[in-house]
Amino acid sequence: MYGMVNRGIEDFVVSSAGVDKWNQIKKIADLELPEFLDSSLYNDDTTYKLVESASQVLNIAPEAVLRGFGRHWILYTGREGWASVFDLGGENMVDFLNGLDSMHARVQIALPDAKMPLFSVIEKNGYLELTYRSPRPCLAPMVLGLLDGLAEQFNETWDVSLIESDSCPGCEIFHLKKNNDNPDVVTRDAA
Amino acid sequence: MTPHDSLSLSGSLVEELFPFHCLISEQDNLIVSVGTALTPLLPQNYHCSRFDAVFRIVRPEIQALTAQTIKTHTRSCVIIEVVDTDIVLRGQFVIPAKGCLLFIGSILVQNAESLENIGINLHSFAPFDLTPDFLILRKFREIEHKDIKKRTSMLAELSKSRDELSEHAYTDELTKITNRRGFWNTGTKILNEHRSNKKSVLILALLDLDGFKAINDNHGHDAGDAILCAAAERIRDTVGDQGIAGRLGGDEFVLMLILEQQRDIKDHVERTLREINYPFQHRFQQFSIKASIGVTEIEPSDTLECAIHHADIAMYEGRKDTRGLITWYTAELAQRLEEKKQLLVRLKEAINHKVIEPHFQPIISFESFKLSSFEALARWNDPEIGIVRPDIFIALAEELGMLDQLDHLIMEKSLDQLACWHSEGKQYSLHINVSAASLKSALVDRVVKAISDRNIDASYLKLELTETTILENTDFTISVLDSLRDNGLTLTLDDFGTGYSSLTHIKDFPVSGLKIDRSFVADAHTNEKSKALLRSVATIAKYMDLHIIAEGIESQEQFDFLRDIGCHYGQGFFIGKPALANTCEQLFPEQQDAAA
Repeated sequence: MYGMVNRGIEDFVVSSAGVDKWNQIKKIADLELPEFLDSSLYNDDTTYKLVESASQVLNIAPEAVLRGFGRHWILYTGREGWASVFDLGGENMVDFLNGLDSMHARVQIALPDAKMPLFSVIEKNGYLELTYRSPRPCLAPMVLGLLDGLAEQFNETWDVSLIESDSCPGCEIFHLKKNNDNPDVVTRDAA
Repeated sequence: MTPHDSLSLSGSLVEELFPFHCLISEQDNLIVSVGTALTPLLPQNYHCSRFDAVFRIVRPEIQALTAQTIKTHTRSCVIIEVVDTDIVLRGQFVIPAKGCLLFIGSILVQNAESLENIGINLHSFAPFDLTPDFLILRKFREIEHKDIKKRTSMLAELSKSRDELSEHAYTDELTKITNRRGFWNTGTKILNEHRSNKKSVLILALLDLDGFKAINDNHGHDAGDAILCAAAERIRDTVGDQGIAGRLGGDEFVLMLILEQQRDIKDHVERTLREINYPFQHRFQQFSIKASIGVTEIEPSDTLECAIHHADIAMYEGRKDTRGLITWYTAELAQRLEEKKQLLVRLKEAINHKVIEPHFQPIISFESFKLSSFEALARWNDPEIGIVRPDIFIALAEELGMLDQLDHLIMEKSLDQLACWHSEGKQYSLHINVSAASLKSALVDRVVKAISDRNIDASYLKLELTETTILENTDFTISVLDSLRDNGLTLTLDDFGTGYSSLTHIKDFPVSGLKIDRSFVADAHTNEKSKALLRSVATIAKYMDLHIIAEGIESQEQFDFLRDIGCHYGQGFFIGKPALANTCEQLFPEQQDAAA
């Protein structure tokens, strides 16, 4: 994983629980590095260890840590100067999700060693079906968090659920249903 | 005809592939159509406007902007900008059909922010268009630059803390000069450099503050620490930039000096000693302290460990006799120490194998001129080394911690001989020396058992102790001596006159006699002061009911004088040399008298 992910986890912990907790997490995860570098590659184990240790220190389930981090990631990348690139993705959730795979294909030029996940979206009757494939296991809760964060970013309200399905081995399927109760929501359809 | 000739692009395909395209009519230079991505970037009335009214060609330079002139640049990379905006496009012109010109390309952006400002996103670009990829690459490059700066700063921090750690690890916390580890580190480097630069002289000196413990004990650790710091500063200053100074621990310092000339060495070391010997001031108190220095000149073949060892040997040897001196490690000293080492090995074996023998020196009565008793004296005749002087091997036995064992060996062998004499009807008494090492509570049991095992009456055994021996632990010593006396043994104060010669000792310790040291006896017949002194001792002894033995008598004159002043017994070469049991009594056939 690129260091920016681990830095995102750090930012998530520090902003939600404080720097002391982060130092505890680093200690438990047995990390000697003073800080992560965004553009350096780190072993995936480091990220998993951080999530495990955060779960221990913050006393919440690892899935909750991942979901919280996923949501935070959207805010964090924006704050860290990626907002402009992020905005290239589109002006609403549907556009963004539709362009996510293309975005990853383009990012691959900049991050040749990144093991990018695959996202494909099918618009179905009244909902979106997002299929997520990643060489890394157990990160589905993080995708839930990312979707939460995106919805917030676009000021939209979506009901997101992870579907248990055997139809697609090695992938996770999410159903996203737009909640139109929010009068402020501006979506592509509405526009 | 090539396979390509059958290709033609539909309007919708052009739109899909080139969302930033612009079609121009060749005849009137009017804009015919524009791609969907470009449309929102142009003024509202762009349609049917002249191309040069909406666009300006930045590169290549074209004077008259007409379709005709542009046509000559269809193989060039063209940069055009939308008039009165910041929007720049890059691409090329092609002639798709007769009578028209087509610009195909993409937006040229400096950064993603500018793209965002003009309302374009990823969906605006054809999938193969690399423009967004450049933006992402540019962003990532910014991050890499930021990381490089961060890494540099992290490395600087790490390097700083590593330097601080090594500084800490190599510096003595109290005196702030190099500590043992630091000295070892720097010293080794200097030594390695010295090997390749034989022009300079390299010396190593160990310096120990004499009497420092007393300052700590009597004035507290604050005073001790202050003196250590001040001493360290003086040593460091004398070394200057000519080497290094370190504290090895406690009150032991080390110096390594690189000097240009041999003659500088002595001056430098002496200056260091003078500096240390100058009184120290702490809280309005002055402390005079001396230093003992051991110095060695380091040979290129020496290791640092070896150099320290040599300096240590020199310092140790120097301090044995007098403190506050400079002692040089020399080949002679090394030779002497090697011999001593061999001697220690041989002595240890000799004591363990009980090859050291007692010789017996006769003591006669001045009153009867007859043999009174013998003093048992340890003698060592090593089959390899030969005869070793008793003052040498007794000191070495003490160094080995085997003096008690040696005393015991001589006592056992001497008492065997005494038992033998008694069995032959020769009722001699025997004087045996007891060293401080033997003076412990077990001595009483040991002596009592030794005489009891041999059926010797305690009154035949006289134990001789020096003043120095009995003064080491006064209360305990008195209890041991009392116990010996209570068991019927008599005690004599040996070498009287050389130690403290305190009359109090004669009063307090349960001694029944004094043995006057040979140094007084030597000029007893010539030196008036010695004569007066000996007369006084004899008078005191007389009034305190103590018997007096004079040892070291070597002439008739001495003999006569000592007899005349009232000494009771005499011993010395004039009377008889120490000898093995089978010869020592031959001079005194049937002369045995009352025991001394």
